[in-house]
Amino acid sequence: MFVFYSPHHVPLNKFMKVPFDFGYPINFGDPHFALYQPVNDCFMLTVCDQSHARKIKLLASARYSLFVVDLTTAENYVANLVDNVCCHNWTLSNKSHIGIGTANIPQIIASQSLIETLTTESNIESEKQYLQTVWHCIKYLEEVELRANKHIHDWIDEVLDANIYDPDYQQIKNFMKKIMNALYLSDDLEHLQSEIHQIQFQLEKLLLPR
Amino acid sequence: MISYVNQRLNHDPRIQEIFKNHGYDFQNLDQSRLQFDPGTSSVYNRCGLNTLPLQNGIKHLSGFSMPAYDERFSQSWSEITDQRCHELRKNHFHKPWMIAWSGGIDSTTIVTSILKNLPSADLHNITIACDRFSVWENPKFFRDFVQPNFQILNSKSLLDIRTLEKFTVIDGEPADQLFAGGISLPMMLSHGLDFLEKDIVKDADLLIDYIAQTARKSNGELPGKTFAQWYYTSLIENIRSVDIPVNTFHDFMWWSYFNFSWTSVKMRGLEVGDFSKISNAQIYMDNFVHWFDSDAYQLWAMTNNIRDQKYGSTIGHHKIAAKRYIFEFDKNHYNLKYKTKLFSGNYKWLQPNTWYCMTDDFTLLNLDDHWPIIRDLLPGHLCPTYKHNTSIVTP
Repeated sequence: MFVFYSPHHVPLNKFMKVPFDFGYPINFGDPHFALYQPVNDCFMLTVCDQSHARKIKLLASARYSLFVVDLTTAENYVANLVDNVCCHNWTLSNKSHIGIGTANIPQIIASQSLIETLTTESNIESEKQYLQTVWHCIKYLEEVELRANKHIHDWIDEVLDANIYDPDYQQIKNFMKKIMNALYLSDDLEHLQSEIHQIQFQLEKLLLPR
Repeated sequence: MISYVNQRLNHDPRIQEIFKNHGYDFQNLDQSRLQFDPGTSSVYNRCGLNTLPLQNGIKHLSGFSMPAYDERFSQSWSEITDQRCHELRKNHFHKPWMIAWSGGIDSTTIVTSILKNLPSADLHNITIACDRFSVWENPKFFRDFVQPNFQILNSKSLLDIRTLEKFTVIDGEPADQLFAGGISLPMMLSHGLDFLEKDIVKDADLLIDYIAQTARKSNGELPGKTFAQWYYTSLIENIRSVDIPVNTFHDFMWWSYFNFSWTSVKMRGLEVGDFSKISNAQIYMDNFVHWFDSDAYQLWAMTNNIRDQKYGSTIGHHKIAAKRYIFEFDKNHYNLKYKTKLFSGNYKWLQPNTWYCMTDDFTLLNLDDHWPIIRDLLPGHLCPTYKHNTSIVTP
């Protein structure tokens, strides 16, 4: 059986306590987004994939509002200026355009200029770790979807009334939902990571080639 | 006599003709209505010299009036909120309650107060109306406190005559008017705390510039400095006529909400609900309760225009007194620190063929069926102290 592994796949046994991705583009001209938090007035995470940015924004929304900012439009943008080591010390110049009341709208804010700032929030590191965990799980779940042939299941559901129940796939979906639920509603990072480990263990058993 | 006009419908050419014939500048009224807050349908003065074009005919009614300022008022937000729950339990529990819960700070304060102050047997008489966006806005509160304790109804299209016959509807208005709503937040985010605390007289130019750059016309354009100067001067004249302290840019924003938009926010349910079949607003006045509309809350608002009550060093401190009240109950650190205002109202406003104005016996009149009456009564609703072309008041 063919099993797909993406080039950036992190094997299960290497699931780090605190996964870390620098979040800057490898190739010149690639997309580069930041997630801006208005109360802290800084970027909390940078990513290179718009759909990842949107998913992280949704999953973190039980904690705080995040706004997806396109970094590449800034007049002083260079690819290695802002990454996940230092993003909390950067903000954008045109934040008055960020509607407080529009956190639910999936808009992308085009940054005009990137500005250095001094963030003194004590919990910034743990929140960055939480967001890295969320991002890591999003990538992991995308890979699970590929390994479970989600696209085939979706296609059959959308196009045909085949009415064939697949208990294994349903279980995989349930485990994926449990991971999303934990990421969305958990307050404690250590507890979250341990919970996800346990779910992953069961999920991986289901995904093993038979 | 006309007591209230739904100013959103003033664009009707027949109405504009009346304004014009009496020398009233419609643009100032329209732009004041849109001042910072598209969720406000009308602007009406409640206290002090009326510098606006229309007279407020309902400001004397219970719930619409402003209590006299009392600098010795010392009740805390928590005390008032607990007291409000007992007061409503005593006077309005003859019918089941329906709480409009959006997941935001204001309506979560209501649900918190109910859970904190009422016995569990009372909760059977209370239904929460919400939708998926409410859950999205406050998922942990929904999971831990709403779902286990209340009956839940989908709030889509619930606000109509049948709902008011069956329930006492309670919503989280006019909390924004107590706290300066969403208008001090963008100022804080774009200009910082120091700007919020600048003096409205010494730094008049800065404030006028801010108004000119922030307020929007109905077509989205900036209204420019002429309107900003008129708005600033009108409000300053009004402020000088009252004995309530309004000193900083924050206070100015608060006062514009507290004095000018309180009335229309209280009428908003009638403008967005399905009330096309009623010809008299009495049932709305009797059965729609605004939780934050009490003399105690208003007195608190007048005496607490200070840091750490209404605002603070970050935008997360907006409505901090209310956030602390919720936190003491739900212990959600994230909401305490990060929750900011979301505009929960995605209002579907009335179409022009529904009611335009209300008379002092709560009769609702519409432009098509009652035009001759409106034409005769509207001139009497214009305000004689309105000056559409005021010059700048110098310090």
